[in-house]
Amino acid sequence: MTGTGTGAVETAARSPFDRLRCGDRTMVARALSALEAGGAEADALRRRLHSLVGSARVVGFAGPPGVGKSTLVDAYVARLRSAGRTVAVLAVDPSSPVSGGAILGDRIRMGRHTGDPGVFVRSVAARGHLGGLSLAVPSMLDVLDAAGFDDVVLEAVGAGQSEVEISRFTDTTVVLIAPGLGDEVQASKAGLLEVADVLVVNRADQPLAAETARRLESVLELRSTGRPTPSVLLTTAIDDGGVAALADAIDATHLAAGVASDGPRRRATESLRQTAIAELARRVVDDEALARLGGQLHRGERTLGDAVDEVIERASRPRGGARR
Amino acid sequence: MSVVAPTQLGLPGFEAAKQRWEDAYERQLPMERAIRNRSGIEIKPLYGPDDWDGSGYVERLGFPGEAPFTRGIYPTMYRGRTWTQRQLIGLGTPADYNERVRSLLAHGATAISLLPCNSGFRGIDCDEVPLPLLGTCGTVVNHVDDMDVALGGVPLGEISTAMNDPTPFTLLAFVLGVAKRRGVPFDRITGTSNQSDYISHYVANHMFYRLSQAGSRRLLVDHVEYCTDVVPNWNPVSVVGQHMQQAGATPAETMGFTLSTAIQYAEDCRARGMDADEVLPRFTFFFDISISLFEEVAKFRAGRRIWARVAKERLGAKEPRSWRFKFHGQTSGVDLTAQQPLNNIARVAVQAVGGILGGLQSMHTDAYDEAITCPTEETARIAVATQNILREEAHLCDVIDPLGGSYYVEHLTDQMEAEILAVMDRIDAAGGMYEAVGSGMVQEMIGRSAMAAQERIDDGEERVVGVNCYEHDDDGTAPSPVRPDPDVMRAHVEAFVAAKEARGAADVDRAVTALRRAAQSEDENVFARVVDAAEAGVTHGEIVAALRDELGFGDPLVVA
Amino acid sequence: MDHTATPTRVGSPEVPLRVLVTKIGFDGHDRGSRLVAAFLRDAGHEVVYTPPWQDIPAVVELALEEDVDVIGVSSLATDHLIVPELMAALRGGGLDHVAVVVGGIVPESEVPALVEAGVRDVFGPGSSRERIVDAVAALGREAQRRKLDREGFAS
Repeated sequence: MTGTGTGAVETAARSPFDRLRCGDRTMVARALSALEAGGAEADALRRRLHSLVGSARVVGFAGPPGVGKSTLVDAYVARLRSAGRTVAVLAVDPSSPVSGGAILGDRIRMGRHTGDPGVFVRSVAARGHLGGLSLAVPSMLDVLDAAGFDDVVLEAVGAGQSEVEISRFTDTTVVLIAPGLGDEVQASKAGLLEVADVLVVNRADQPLAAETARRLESVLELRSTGRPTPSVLLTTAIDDGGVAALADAIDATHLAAGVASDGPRRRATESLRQTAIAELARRVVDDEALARLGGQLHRGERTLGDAVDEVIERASRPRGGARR
Repeated sequence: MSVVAPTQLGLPGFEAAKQRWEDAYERQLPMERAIRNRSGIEIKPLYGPDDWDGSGYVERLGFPGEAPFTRGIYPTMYRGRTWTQRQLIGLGTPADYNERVRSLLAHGATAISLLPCNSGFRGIDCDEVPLPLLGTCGTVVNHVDDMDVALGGVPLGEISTAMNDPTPFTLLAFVLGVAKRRGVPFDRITGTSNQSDYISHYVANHMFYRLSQAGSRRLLVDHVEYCTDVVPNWNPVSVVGQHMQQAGATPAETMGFTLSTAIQYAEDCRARGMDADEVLPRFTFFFDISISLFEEVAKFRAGRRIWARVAKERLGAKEPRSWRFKFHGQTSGVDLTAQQPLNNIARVAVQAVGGILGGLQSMHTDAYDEAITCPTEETARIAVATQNILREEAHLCDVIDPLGGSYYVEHLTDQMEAEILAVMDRIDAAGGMYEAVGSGMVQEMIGRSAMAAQERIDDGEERVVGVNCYEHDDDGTAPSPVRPDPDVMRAHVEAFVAAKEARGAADVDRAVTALRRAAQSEDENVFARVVDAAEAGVTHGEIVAALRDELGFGDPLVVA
Repeated sequence: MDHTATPTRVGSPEVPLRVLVTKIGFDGHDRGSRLVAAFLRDAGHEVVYTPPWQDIPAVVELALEEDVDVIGVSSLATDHLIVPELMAALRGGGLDHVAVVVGGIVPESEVPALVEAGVRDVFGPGSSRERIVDAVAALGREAQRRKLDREGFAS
């Protein structure tokens, strides 16, 4: 990317897309907001973005709250910067299910990159999406890719579901696990081992860290998923411990995948899938028709599959009474 | 807790009389809402011998000057000597400070304090500070020459000095540099390193951290060790509950966190090979005194009782003087209001009474404009007068622990003790205070309590005059702030830069190199090198920068 | 029927406001900023929260990258004295559509200087949750409209 030094005279003459492509921060920020908001501006953006994407490496970091994701991402970004690469970070935090609001605190641990023109950080609220990611995330990654960043890092709170989602559209998925006996079993149950390219046990200074890593490795040995076996690493993000090895492991997954990344297409597909699901969920409202079908199901007058088909059919009908 | 069955009391007719009162009470207040204190303890309308009957008196209360010190840490308490009146002051240049401090001494102050400019807490010198902020909240003291000016005419060695001086304790180093110049032996230097409690800065008031948590930990132990050997009458550790209570911790949480922090420091010193009886007598504590008067009294009484037990049984101190819980109290700025500011004079008086009844050793009373600005000379005078009136006119010093034996206060002291111990258990379970803060657990607890307190005010459950009731009785006063003269501050910065340039570069380099080398080493005492560097003219900012380089920067452990 | 189903229709009907809650200068008391952040979250807004001690250029950078509508500066120890400098820096960074409010301890006599510098509201000690939330919401919606007037990607 070319940095932020676009003067006023110069920017006035250039189109918003040109400015975005050159990494103009104002336009990057605006594009991200437009995608979050949706509507005509988002559609216009999506139509044009496809020709600009495909060069960034996209790495997703996921793990439970408090495991040290922000700190590890911060250290990984520092590592990429020391190699001269430019980085954009998308940090997703949950929204309050009650108010819809959010406190986005990922900036707290990323202070060292403030002032660095080679790093762009954006905090994103999940905005009610069940998987823990905002629906706009795949398109937002496209914007950061289009803006010319060498690496794009996605950080998300993991609860099982979001790791699976992330793995569908990132080039590499890093899953963090807290040291503690039993966690590797949880990880196994949640399907994390299937989707992770790199497993990280952070807080390696904790007494159970090495044991947790060892057990994870032995669980991994027993399975054959057809995918390359993920590497298991120990890090202490707080003092950058193990981060060099993490960067190497991420590089290795990229090399293994080859040069032709189909990331942008996968991001578009995932965007479509999640938005369609959300739209369907929005249209299936708790109304009289639903109650009537529920009653029929209860009385054995319909099968579940039959009732579901009707619900979906009604939801797909234009102006089908599902609008508020 | 001693809740006694009435039949055991040997009070004929007690039960029937109590029933009559309860019936009458219930008739008149049938649907009364439960009242809770700030620590969440439900407060009954009346306490009696069934709540506290004096059993276990000697073990749980004892006599003043004897463990567990519930009733006071000295046999004579205020009859022998009243609390030390220690007002925290600081503004402008060292010369401005000197003028203020000499006036205080002329008016009978027996101890002084120094509040440095906030920029110092961030570890930088005046030449890096935006001029509008320089000296607005404290005095600019960046090198030994500044301290010499600040303490001009002050008889070092006779006057006790308390300084807000977080790691790496440059202000004490500057004081020692001045003492050396004036030929005052170090063993005559007395006072306290306020704000040596780095853990509290990571928890709550995030303005003091200068070094990484691990670096601060080492520096503190180095500092204790150095003072023990070289400045034996200095109190190197002041464990600060104030920040946590100001940030929203309840009084019980505050006492629990503070005692757990003290345990952490004592254990760190023990790990360095220091003896508990060598170290603990010079531990002091620093608390906020809120306007919840009885709760504060109970907090302090319970704190004394717990600390005596902890110091003896857990930390292994054998001498009773190591078990004494000495504390400084500051009336709480959180309770003061910007609305109708003169009302704060009344609030401060009530808070101060709570501190005195709680048995404090020294006190700062806030000026009434403290919720709005740094105090003026006039408002600071009223704050001092408040203490004088309480000491001289109110007969508060006639009786030791005058609330002792109150059914309510004794019962509440027991309840607060239980709450405090529960908090300390949680900290222990998290691996001690250092770990509990590192994981953000303590910050989260404080955040929850702060929110609950705000909700009580917003709901009108906690009433604040001028804020959510009696809002219209505006007294029409709006204290105007005192700001340093920008020309004077600019001149000070220029003189500072010139003084820096005039130093012997070789001496400075040598001192900084020695400082760095000590920090890199495993076992050299870093604070001893800070003292050398200060004497060689190395500035505060330079010392902090070198140590940050070697020991890491104190990233905030903020929890949103 | 509009088939461009959009994230904002899931959950809240309106685009949430984005608010930067921060502290500049040297003060570290964060009780107020934490509470205000929680108030705003509970009112349905998205709060980007920073530790204390932010430099002015850092606040400009954060506001720009996070594309916030409102910046709330908490100041309890005279840091409001450099807010005019922040206002100038925001204008220089092309962020004059963003509404800036200050909360904490600002002496009455120093409020006019802040207002003159472009600060839209000042919340003194004892300001109720309602007053803060209502003012931020109104200012934020206004800022959102100002932002939409600027050149974007729609055409």
